[in-house]
Amino acid sequence: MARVEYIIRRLLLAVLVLVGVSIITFVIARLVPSDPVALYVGPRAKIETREAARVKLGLDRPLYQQYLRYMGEVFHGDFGISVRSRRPIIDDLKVFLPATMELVFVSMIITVLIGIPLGVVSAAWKDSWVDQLSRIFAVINVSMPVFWLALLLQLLFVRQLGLLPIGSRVSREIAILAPIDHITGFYLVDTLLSRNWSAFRDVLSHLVLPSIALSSYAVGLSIRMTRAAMIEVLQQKYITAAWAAGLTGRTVYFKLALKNAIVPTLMVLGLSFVWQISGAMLVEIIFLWPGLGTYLVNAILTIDFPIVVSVTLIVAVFYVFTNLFLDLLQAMIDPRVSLQ
Amino acid sequence: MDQPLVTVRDLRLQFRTYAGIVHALNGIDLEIHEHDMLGLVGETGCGKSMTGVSILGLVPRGGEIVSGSIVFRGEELLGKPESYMQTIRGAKIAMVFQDPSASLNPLFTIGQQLETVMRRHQRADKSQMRDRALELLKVVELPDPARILKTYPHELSGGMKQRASIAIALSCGADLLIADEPTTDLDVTVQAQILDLLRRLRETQGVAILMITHDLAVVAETCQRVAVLYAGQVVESGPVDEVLFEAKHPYTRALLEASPKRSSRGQPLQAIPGTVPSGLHPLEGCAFSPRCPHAMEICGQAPPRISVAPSHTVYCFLYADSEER
Amino acid sequence: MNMPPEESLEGAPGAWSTRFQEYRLMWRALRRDRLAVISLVIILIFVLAAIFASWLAPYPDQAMGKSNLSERLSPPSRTHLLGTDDVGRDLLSRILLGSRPSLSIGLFVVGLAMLIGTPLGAIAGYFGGWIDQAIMRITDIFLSFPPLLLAIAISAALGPSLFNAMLSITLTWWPWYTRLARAQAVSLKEQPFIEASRAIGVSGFTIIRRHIIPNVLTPALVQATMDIGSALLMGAALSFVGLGVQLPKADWGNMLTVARLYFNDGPWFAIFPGLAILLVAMCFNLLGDGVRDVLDPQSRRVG
Repeated sequence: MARVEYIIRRLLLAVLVLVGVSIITFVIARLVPSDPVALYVGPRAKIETREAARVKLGLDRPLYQQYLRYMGEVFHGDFGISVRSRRPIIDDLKVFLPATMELVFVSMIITVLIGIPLGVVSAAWKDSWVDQLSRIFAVINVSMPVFWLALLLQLLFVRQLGLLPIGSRVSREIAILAPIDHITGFYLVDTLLSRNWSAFRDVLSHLVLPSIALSSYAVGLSIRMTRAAMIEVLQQKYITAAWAAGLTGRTVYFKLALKNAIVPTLMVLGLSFVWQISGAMLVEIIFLWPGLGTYLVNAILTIDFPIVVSVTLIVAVFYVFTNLFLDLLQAMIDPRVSLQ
Repeated sequence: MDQPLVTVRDLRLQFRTYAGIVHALNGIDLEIHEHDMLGLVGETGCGKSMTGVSILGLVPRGGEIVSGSIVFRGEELLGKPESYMQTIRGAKIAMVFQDPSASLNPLFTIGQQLETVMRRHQRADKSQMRDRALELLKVVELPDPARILKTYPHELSGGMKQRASIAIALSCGADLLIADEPTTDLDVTVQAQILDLLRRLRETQGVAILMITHDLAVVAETCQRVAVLYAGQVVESGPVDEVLFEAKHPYTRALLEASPKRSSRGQPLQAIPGTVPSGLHPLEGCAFSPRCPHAMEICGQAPPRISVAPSHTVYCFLYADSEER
Repeated sequence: MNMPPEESLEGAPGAWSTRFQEYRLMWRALRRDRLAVISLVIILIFVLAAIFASWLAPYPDQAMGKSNLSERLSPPSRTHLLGTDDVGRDLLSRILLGSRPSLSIGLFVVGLAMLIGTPLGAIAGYFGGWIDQAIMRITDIFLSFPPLLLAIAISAALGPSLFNAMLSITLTWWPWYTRLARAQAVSLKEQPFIEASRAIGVSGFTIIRRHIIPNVLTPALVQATMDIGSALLMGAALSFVGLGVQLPKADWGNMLTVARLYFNDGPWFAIFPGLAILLVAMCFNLLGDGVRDVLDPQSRRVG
């Protein structure tokens, strides 16, 4: 029963936080000093046109009304119109969001497959050469600016070795010769579903460098934190008691210790996920990846703040839901959580 | 006399630390027989816990057994590979720890923890294991065993947790139970219950118990034999009545003097002057000599092992002449 | 690490002097960690380089922005140890000068975040009730933003400059310290020596100042040392997207923005500024690891 209470409390908190997030996003967007009306109608518009534009954009109303109107529209899937391109933002989001999410998902897979096992092994063989090497590897990953790594990867694999493409999600040849059906927007999935094998290979080759670059920080973080969590757990008396009961290494490390360490490990994965959403922005710029990051950065440079507000809101919402999911997961694994 | 269950001979354990080498055990001799209840008593830091974990081969990181022998049922345990030790631990020699809140895994129910251990050492199907689990919980006198199987450790009181730990330890029919300060963290009334339980288990389950404690009263009440430890060495060992009432070694005597007794009411407590030697600089000869009121020059050499009575031994030069052979 | 004052009477030496003694011991223990010491030395070298950049730079005017088109994109040579950039400026000089904004961001952000966040958290944790709820809700909301995104958004809104970049990153960072301080305050609140102080009538704020903050300081400092590297990286990221130091002023991040366009012809232009970031961030991280290992009693090895 305490657990149910906890879940309800947590959900309410999430709602409160989402409201707060949307307000702050809105306020920040309004801090932008330039005049959106001028951008909308151009520098030589007449007074009437300007006034009409003001009313149309809702800028004549008090701030809180603008906010409420905006939130109302958002719930109906209407994110407004780009000041620059006059296109509905929702259409752009439908294209750019899957592109970024695909990149992030592939990065997460790399993080989980490399980061966590290395962290466990590091802890189990503490201070051995395996441990030392993986710690050095982890610290380098965590200290590297991701956009620099992206550049280096391009330098090595594209310029020097010519192995991989320089950017974009697909090459022009494939776009023309074997175009991809837009089913989900996730090209890996789409090409598999339509059995477009050449496109699949092409998409994969375009994903390699960006996802490696994007995953690096998270891999380093995962190794460090999984290792730390495992070491802490392995020092606990209940692990000693497990050894004293004659349980084997496999049971102690992977059945017992890992479960006890899983909560901080999941936290790390959650952190990695949200970090990668932000980091994607930087990686996308380098690899000309048509995703949310490029979309946002361009919007910032052209002061197209409906886009800035929308993207920030979407990413923040993702963030809130991920944290919520993690907290609920923790409550399910650790029976003591609801007591806090 | 039949062959002892466990024989420890001249066990020496060292730890490497930043400050230097710490000599935790300096030549421990012990014998534990079947159905024995042997008390291992001494102050904090004398090495009693280390003796316990050494028998199980679970010396912490940085520690190394540099010499000695530990024989269990005729088999020398030192030097055996980890895989062999894993068949001994839990199944033949089991351990119960001081703080049951720390030694039970918080994320698993009691039933799950019992099952994990049983599955490791025994072949049985689910229902057989469940029956055995219920039986074990009854043996340790836990009420409503079926419900306990499904509870998590943090939902139980200290005494109940310790009973559960004992159940897990005895689940595979161990011959020896090492109890490291099993009641120190419990309330006094609960303490008495757990000690009672351990005494009864020794009779009903036929298990030998090595009771590690700093509390002489616990030893007096529960054990038939006792070994007194000081600075990593056994100074005296023998039947409880003899050692406690006819204490031979100056340290044992001082320890008994220092315990508050009803007879000493109103009088200042007798402390032992000086401090326990640091493990970094072990002394040649008797470790207690700097504090001993009867110290002699010869105490600078390693004290001999003297039998002052059948099965009552002292390590002290004071009795060098009164040896009964 | 939670120690009551040496003497438990108010007005006596108190928690702060105990802290200083502890720190002296910690320093001695830290000295044994070779990796941490090397990192500290390298950091100090960078700090000195930052301070004396104008004197150390072989081409100080180029560092400031004067172009040298005749030598644009020259590879590393004896005249230009690290090569030149797209308008011929000496890369070594630019990197030396570029250390200033990067290091300032790292240190300033973490310092300010700690300064704001720690007292807030201590207050929230100690007083509890609605103060606690209010502060923690605001903290939660700030923590619900992806840090980089929030920093970018605020920076963009305020206008690109070094100061605004520092401000926006600080705004994303302070909540972590608030959370940390609050957790510590909550656990300290129950301790007998705090109750004793309350019993003799010491005011809440004085208790916080004298007892809670010193005890919170240690974990906060550990966190801070480890955070400087990350703050530095975030600062570089902001510069990279054009929201920090503006060209022609030298900054490791904005150098990479341009370097990216020329990496075919001048890869050294892209490699060296990034290498500088990597090196400094790594040193801060290793130092932070060392500090944490020393200050956290659990990780102190037995042998």
